[in-house]
Amino acid sequence: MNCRQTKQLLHDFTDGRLAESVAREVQRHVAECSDCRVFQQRDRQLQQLLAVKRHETPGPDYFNNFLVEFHQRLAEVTAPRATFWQRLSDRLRIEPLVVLRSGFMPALGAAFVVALLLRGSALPARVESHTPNVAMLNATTVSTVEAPALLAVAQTDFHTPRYVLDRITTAPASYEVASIHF
Amino acid sequence: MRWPVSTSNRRRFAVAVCCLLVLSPRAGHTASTLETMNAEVTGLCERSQDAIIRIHAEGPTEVSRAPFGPSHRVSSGFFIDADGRFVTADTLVENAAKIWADWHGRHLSARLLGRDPLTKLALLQLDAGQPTPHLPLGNSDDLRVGSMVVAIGFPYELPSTPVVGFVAGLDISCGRQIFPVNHIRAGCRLSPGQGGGPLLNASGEVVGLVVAAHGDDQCYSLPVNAVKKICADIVTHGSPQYPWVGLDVSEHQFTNALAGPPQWQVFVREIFSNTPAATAGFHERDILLSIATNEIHRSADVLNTMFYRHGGETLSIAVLRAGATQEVKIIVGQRPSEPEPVVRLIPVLVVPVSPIPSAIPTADRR
Repeated sequence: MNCRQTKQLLHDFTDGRLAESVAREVQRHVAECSDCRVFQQRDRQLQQLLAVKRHETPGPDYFNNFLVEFHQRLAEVTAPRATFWQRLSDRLRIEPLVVLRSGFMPALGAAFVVALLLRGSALPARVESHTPNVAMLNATTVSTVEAPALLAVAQTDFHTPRYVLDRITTAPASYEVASIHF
Repeated sequence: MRWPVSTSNRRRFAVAVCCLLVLSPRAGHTASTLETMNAEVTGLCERSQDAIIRIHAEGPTEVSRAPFGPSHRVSSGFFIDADGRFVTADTLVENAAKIWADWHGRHLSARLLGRDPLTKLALLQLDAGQPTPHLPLGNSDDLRVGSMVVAIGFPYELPSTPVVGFVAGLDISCGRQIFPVNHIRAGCRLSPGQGGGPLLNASGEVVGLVVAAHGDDQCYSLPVNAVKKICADIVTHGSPQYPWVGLDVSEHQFTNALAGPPQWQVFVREIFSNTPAATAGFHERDILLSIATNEIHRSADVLNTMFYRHGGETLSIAVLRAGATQEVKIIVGQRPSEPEPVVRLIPVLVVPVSPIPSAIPTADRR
């Protein structure tokens, strides 16, 4: 009997489920082979440990808190994720949209007045202003470029021109001429 | 001189020849060529600098842009004569209420003489009060793939900027965009604001008008010969004139019986009633062989040939009918002011190839 066969039979040997002749063969090999002897010792230790654990029962507190903990974890998983503004307001410890809570119409009116003031201040510079705009210089991949409005306000060039260069965006060679009228 | 016979002598001889070549005056030839090219491009930019202008247009109010004011568009353009006439991209002047140009540090108002949305060209006149410098107009037919070109224009708010490239092709289409005439595709990386600028050849002559960009480093230009034709039409008639024959044609690919490469032919699908073609004697399924002196193989050949024709001109069209070549004389008319779409497109899935040149399947006719 070799090591592989012996290791396959060791569990049954320990439990005493082998025939007598086979058990003798296993015992002879284990007596001669140190590896299999170590394997047999580990197997016995495992069986002893399982025998101890088999009688271990959880304490009464485990079942008392079980349902509470289960529902807590379930709520954590299924609850909607906080939005960016909610998380930001939580972090900054401020009330979100204070202005809107105090009244939507006053907020809208204030925004309108600010827009009018900004537009009026930029009108005279519309034709004469040719200040290079960093945002435009960076935007090299679009045909008709307009800088974002907020950037334009910051640079007092509110009426950002559109720079003309038509762009063909369709992929080449995807169509063929079906007919021509001439 | 005796040739070295032994291997060692041959090797020494080869090494000596290489040393002579490296140390010879021709070693500096490449550098001098680059210097010459550098001087040429620099001189070309300096010569054309005064004739290329930045143009502004004030368009209608755009609700989609904040604040709600009139739109301000900027592009490039160039003078074509001493009377202050200049051309630019049609996109600039579309629905424009006011057009002006920067010239010699002044804002001068410009007058729109005419525009052609089909070729994306607009012709304007600047009230300069003095003769304007202008660029010489070349011949775009002389361009070949690989010819060096220089595109000059005003990118964004920057001064006029040259971009050197090479002609990559002469295309009739780019995807769904079908040009009315072959456009010059050049490997020039242009920026917004350079539309409407000139495309110059190595001699400093205008060979194209930049009308569009594609991809990162390709630009399309209307050939200068087409620019001349449209400008002449606008000056003479007030608007571009396009010829009208009254044929609906399509192209078809076939393989030669002798297993040659696949070839194309253009055949008549339909003849419109009350048109010059209806009275000239065309038949359906006639195969177009030539128009005037130009051979016809593809639809692009038809477009390129007919673009330069004028109303009232007599054309000789050779057709193949029932295996025999026939010549049809036709007097070209004026295209109706509200024409149907000139070109109809279909997506390319499989290129149809028929085995016999003369047999056009009935299913392909519609």
